Amino acid sequence: MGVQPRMTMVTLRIVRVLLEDPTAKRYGLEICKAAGLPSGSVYPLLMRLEQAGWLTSDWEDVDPTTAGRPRRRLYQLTSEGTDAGGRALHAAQRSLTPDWRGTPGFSPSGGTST
Amino acid sequence: MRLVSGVFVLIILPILLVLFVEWCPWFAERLIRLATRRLPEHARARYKEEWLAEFEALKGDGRRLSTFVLAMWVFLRARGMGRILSGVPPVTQVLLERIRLWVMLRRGQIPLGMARLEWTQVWKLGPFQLKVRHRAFAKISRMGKGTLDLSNLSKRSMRRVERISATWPVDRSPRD
Repeated sequence: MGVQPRMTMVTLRIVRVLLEDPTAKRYGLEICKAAGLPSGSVYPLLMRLEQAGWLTSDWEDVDPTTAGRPRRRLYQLTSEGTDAGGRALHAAQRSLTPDWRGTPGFSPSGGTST
Repeated sequence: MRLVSGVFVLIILPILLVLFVEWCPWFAERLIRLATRRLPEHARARYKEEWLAEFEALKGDGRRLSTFVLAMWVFLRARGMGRILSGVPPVTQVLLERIRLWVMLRRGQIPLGMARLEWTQVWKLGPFQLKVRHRAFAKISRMGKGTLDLSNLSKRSMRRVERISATWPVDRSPRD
């Protein structure tokens, strides 16, 4: 296992996309589109996630002559990445959700407490 | 003057834009090849193939401008990727280390000789190694031995450095 990646918003967006189907193999451009990021901006992050052991990558198993295009590099979440990514995403969601409990004048039912 | 600017805006500028869009894939391919040169030797072939495959996919869709955007991003980020792949800390981390050193120096927590040496070494070393070496150099510079390069230290000095670094906390080291 490598150094844990820094959890920025962009990293979280990539992790969220990959966690939609942890067994799926996706290529860089596909991840960019799904995460709504500019094409080409994800490669350093994918590299860091790969170094951290959250992702594995492998070449696509196609013949470039029959497919009519070059083979792509496919990324897939590891079991460690699925666990750690899920935890990181959950922690980020929790930290971003405002905690209204204990706030004066707020009640979960929608009315105002006294 | 107005005529010249009018001709430029109405005729020349659109022609230049069309030409640029036409040439986007050519520029993009060159940029990707340049970007791979910024990576360490062992990673070049892999990323070159990966990026060119993505480039071909965009080119196949007829998205000429997108190929250029992809290549620009790749080119701009390649140096940072190269640093990480080579095991060198990223520039932001180095800058943070340097700011930390400067603050420590201003507060009198480290001597000048040590700060000077680390200012140059911070580009090469990871943060953990730096932390251990801070303590050693703090003591050595205080004893009037100047700024020592760690690579020139003898085995005896290294043992001494290790002993000092185990007992000398950074925040207690006096100023030069």
